Amino acid sequence: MTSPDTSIVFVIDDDAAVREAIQGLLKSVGLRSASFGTAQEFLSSQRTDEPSCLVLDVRLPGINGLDFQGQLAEAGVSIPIIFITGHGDIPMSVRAMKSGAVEFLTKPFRDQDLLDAINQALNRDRLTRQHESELAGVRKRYESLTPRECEVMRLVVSGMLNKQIAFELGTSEITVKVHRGRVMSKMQAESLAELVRMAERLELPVENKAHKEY
Amino acid sequence: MATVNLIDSYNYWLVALSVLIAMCASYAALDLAGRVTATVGRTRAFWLLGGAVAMGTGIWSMHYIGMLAFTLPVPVAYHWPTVLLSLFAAILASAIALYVVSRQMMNAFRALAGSVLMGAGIASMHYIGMAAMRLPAMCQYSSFLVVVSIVFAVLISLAALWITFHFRDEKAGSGWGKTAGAIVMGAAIPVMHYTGMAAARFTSSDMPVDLSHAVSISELGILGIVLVTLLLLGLALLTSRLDRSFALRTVELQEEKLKQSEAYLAEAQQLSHTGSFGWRVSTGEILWSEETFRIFQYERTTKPTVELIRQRVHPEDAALVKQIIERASQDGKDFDFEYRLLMPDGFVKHVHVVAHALSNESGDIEFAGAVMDVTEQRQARVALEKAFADIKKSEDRLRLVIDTIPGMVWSGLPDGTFDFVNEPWLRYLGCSWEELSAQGGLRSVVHPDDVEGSDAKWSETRASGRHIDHELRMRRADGQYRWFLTRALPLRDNLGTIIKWYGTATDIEDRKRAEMLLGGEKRVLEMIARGDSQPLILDTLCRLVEELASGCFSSILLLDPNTNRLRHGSAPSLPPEYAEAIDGIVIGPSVGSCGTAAYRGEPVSVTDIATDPLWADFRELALAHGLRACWSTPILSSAGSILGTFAIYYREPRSLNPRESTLIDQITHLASIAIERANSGEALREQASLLDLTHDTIFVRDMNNVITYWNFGAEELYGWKKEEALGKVTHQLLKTIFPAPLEEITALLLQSGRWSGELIHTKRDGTKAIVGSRWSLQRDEQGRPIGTLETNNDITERKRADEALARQANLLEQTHDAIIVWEFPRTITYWNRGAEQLYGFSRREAIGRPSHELLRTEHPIARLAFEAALERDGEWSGELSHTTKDGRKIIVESRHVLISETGGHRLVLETNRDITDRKRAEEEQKRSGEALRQAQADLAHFSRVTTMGELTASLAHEVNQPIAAAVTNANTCVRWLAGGTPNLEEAREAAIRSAKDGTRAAEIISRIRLLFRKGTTERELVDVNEVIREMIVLLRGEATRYLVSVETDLATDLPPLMADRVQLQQVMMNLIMNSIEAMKDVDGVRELTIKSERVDTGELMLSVSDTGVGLPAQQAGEIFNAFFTTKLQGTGLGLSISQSIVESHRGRLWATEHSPRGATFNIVLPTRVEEHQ
Repeated sequence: MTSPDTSIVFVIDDDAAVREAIQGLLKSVGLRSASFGTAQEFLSSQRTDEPSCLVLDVRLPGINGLDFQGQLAEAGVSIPIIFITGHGDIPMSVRAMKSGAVEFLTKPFRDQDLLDAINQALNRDRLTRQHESELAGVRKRYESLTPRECEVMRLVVSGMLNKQIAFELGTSEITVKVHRGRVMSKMQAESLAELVRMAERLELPVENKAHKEY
Repeated sequence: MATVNLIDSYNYWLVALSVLIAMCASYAALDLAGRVTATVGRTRAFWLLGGAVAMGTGIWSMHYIGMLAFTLPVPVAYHWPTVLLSLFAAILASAIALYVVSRQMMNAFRALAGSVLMGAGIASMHYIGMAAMRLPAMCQYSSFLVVVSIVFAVLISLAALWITFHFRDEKAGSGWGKTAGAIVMGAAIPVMHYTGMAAARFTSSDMPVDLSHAVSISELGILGIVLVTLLLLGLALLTSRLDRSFALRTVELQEEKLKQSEAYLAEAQQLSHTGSFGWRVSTGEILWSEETFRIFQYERTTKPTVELIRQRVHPEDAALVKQIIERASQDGKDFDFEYRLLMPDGFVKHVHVVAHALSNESGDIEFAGAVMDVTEQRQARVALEKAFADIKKSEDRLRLVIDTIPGMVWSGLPDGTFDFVNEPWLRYLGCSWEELSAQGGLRSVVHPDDVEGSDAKWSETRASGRHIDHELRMRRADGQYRWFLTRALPLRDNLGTIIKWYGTATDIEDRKRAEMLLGGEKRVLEMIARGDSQPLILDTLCRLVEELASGCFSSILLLDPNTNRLRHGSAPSLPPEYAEAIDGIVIGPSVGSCGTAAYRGEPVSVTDIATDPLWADFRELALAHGLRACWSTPILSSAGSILGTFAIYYREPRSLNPRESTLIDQITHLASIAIERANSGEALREQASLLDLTHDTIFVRDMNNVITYWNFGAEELYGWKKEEALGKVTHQLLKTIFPAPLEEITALLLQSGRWSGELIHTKRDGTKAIVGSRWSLQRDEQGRPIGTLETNNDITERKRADEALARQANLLEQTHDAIIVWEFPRTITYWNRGAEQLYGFSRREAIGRPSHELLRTEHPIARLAFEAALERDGEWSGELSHTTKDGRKIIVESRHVLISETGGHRLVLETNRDITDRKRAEEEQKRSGEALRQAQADLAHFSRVTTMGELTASLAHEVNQPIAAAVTNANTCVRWLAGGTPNLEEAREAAIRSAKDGTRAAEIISRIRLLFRKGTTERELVDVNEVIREMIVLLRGEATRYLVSVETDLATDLPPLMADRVQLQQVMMNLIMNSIEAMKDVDGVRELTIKSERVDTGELMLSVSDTGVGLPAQQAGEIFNAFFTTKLQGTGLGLSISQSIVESHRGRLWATEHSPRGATFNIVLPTRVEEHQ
């Protein structure tokens, strides 16, 4: 376990004994955990923003675990899921794995299998979070640009030359150069290539090059 | 303005005086402190105040004298209110000091606090005093010296308190110690003063002096102050001394008293030879009083130890003493025992030790006790025993005298038992005292007829305490009883309590006999006068003789003058054959004793029949009957003619003694009167007049049946008056109907003299009367029949009752039920034909036998309890098992009725009806019912198993859950145990969880297994809610599988139900399964609701509702039919079986629509299922 202090494992199972057993196991390897009897409880719980994963019983009162997986995805909750089931069948596990489940375990499962799956899930979540936080930094920097700078950046990453941009914006090349320098420094981009990558991550609308020929 | 330091100087005489005064004041203070300590309450307050005033004044005056010793080159005056204030400060300081030192305890804090307060007081006094000075100068203080002076004041106070506290004791502190203390203190106080003075620097000032309220002190003033102070101190000391000497005297008196009482105690101990001791077990410390030392013969100076005691103990008692001391020192219990001491001079002492255990606060055991020298008491006791022995000896001598006197003497205890009879008496009884005691004492030799009377008499005598004469018969050694007069006299002690009874017994046999003869004569004469029949009178006479002359047989023969034959008169004890043989002998000169006596007209006495020639003809006959002696006396009429003979026979040869001869004379005389009277013709009529007095019907008829006598009773019965009846022919008048021909009856009458039987007579009014009739033939002197006396009783009513009874009995005979009457204890007195037929025993076999033995009755309860119940309730009914004569066991419905007849006779009428066949039929029915139930159970089982099969997946899930948890927990446990430092606590927790999960899995499996079990189960009290919850647990998986949510609404106040748990579970399972089935294909809400409640009728209502497809519209009525199913793989049995299960619990199961969708199945169950159907 890489950073046991920050990650947390959520367990949803309608059977209290199973929940308790899994939590006990997690405690023995120093993992924090929280458990819920129903999907509803989990949804309404206050969760902090930290690396986490979900151990989910397929059979839940009122809702199927696989359906719940879909609901979560729809609600934009991206959390790695490990399914556990009393009697799994192949179609069920295929469906789960397709929907992005980390692992599909049949009760009674080997403890190491569960722990490996959890470990894997947490790592995955940690990575996801890392990506997300990077993106957030870029977005924040992007938001610090003035509208004109935004325009300049958009055109720069489109691959336009300063002259073209000046023309496009109806301003002097000098001015564009100044704007461009500001954009580079505000976005903390070392190179044009990096700026382009940032624009990609921000999913900025790229100017059609054909326009240039226009 | 010039300021000049004023040069001060001291007058050293006055300084010395001030020191002296300080010492005096200190001494007074020490002295008074002792007083304050020794007193309490108001006296204490007085001494405290007085002491404070004296001492305060002393200190104060020392100050002022010191001030006066201090001279300044300017005039000094004093502001007197301030002076008074300083005096007050001194007194206050003294009061504090006295208060502190007079306390019982002194500790550092208290001492310090006291000394600081006191020091502060003294310092205040000093500086207030200084402030009182009025002089044309400025006074400045060196602050260092002021502090030093205050420190001195406190230190002095501390010293003073310490000294005073230690010398305050009235006795210890007297003398040098106190004086030395006073000197130290007295010296110290001025030190402070002069230090304080040294702190002051006076500089002259031109400031006008405020001399208001100021006084100056002259030499005369000093003298005054000194005198007043000394006077005050002297007074205080004097009073203190007087008071103390008085107090000391009191203490001395008390001590003297204590000594005196100790001396008394020692004296008392010496006088009573009782020493006391104390023994502390833990330390082995022993205290002895003076007398204890004396008893053990040790010097007072020796130190008592257990060892010293052991040295004195008599060797034979050593073990006992050791044991008791050891036990006492262990268990701390009181002890009390006696043992012997062996003194060095060889003298043996007996001592009695008593000790009481006390426990002090620390739990140590202490014994306080007394040692009593009981040697003298011992000796006295031995002497007493010897005296008793002596007394016994003299008593024995007295016995010897009593035994040798010829009379009979006895003695008895107050409780009525006899403890002594003398030798002559034992000789009479022919046994020893021991034998007599063994056979039951004197009571056993008393004549059986006299036992009761003499017991009563003896009790009466003892109760009254007065002597009462009593007569009784006692058996002699040869078995003969003789009459005795007994007489008893009580022996009383000083208080009048009876301690013994003494008595005599006197032989009064002869007197008794004379009395009896007299009584017998009287009785016979009365009989004659009353007209009793001659044979009766003669019998009485003979018996009287036999009673008086014991061992003899007597006989009376009557002479028929016409034939000269002797006819039988009376011989009640002679062998009848003998009497018959001699009946009718002809008198003659040598015809035995009687024939000869009658012939000779004089007594004939034959001493030995075997040799006497008179008996030649009858010898064989007499000897054959064991008769050896016979004395016969003729009975003479008043006219001198011979009427008969009176004879006495003996079984042994013997001659006549004078007493017997007198007896015979008297008897023959009586006999002659009796015979003469009987012969007279008046006798009959006289008798008859007596007969009028009775209510019995009596009449006399002559040999021609003509009525010659008709009594009042006959008038009443038949209605004819005496005048009408007399002279009539009996059988014509009464239209007698005889049970047999009259000739036969008459012949019987003539032959035996009597006849009795039932007759039917017709009364004057024409009604018939059934009479019980007794006839007795009357004869004249010559024995010729002269008439018949007839006594009749009307038995018509009784007859009628008898007949009614017979008719009833006949009815009882007709019934098929067995009717038995038995008396307690169980003897059969009636047995009807029904009983004969039912049991096979004939009436003859049954009557007189105990019923329960005859019929081998098996009661439902113990026989005695059964009989008790019968007596209590007067009747009983129920089923019994009997065994018939041919050994068949039958069951009867029996009814017992207790009938109490007058006279306490209790009968039981028992009616039994054979219900064996009915019983058998019932059993048969029961058996077939059971088979049906078994079939039903089998079907239910089949259905259950089928349903369970459908549930396999869900059930597996239910079992899998806890197993998964258990495995995970077990793994976790292993993880905690592994690694560098195993965490045992966590491992334990995990193991516990694992075990819990395993148990849960086992429970689920056992529940499932129960449902698979075959056959019927017993009904038991079942909590319906529990059944519901169990089934939900089993079926939860199934519900979850189809996304069905399960809601329950269970009432908490449900009574337990007498039911078959498994069957109820099956019903719930079927209904829940049906509901899930109905919902699994519907969209939207899938909700299963199970409710339990108690309805107003007291029944239980259960319902299972779903939101499924609802009941099949077309076939709603058919759902409960067997083999009806809407499921693809259903058996169609579930609901049908559920319904039959509910109905077997006397409940109902029905289905209704559920709003807005689905179906509800309802069950109503009665809370009490009375009978197992």
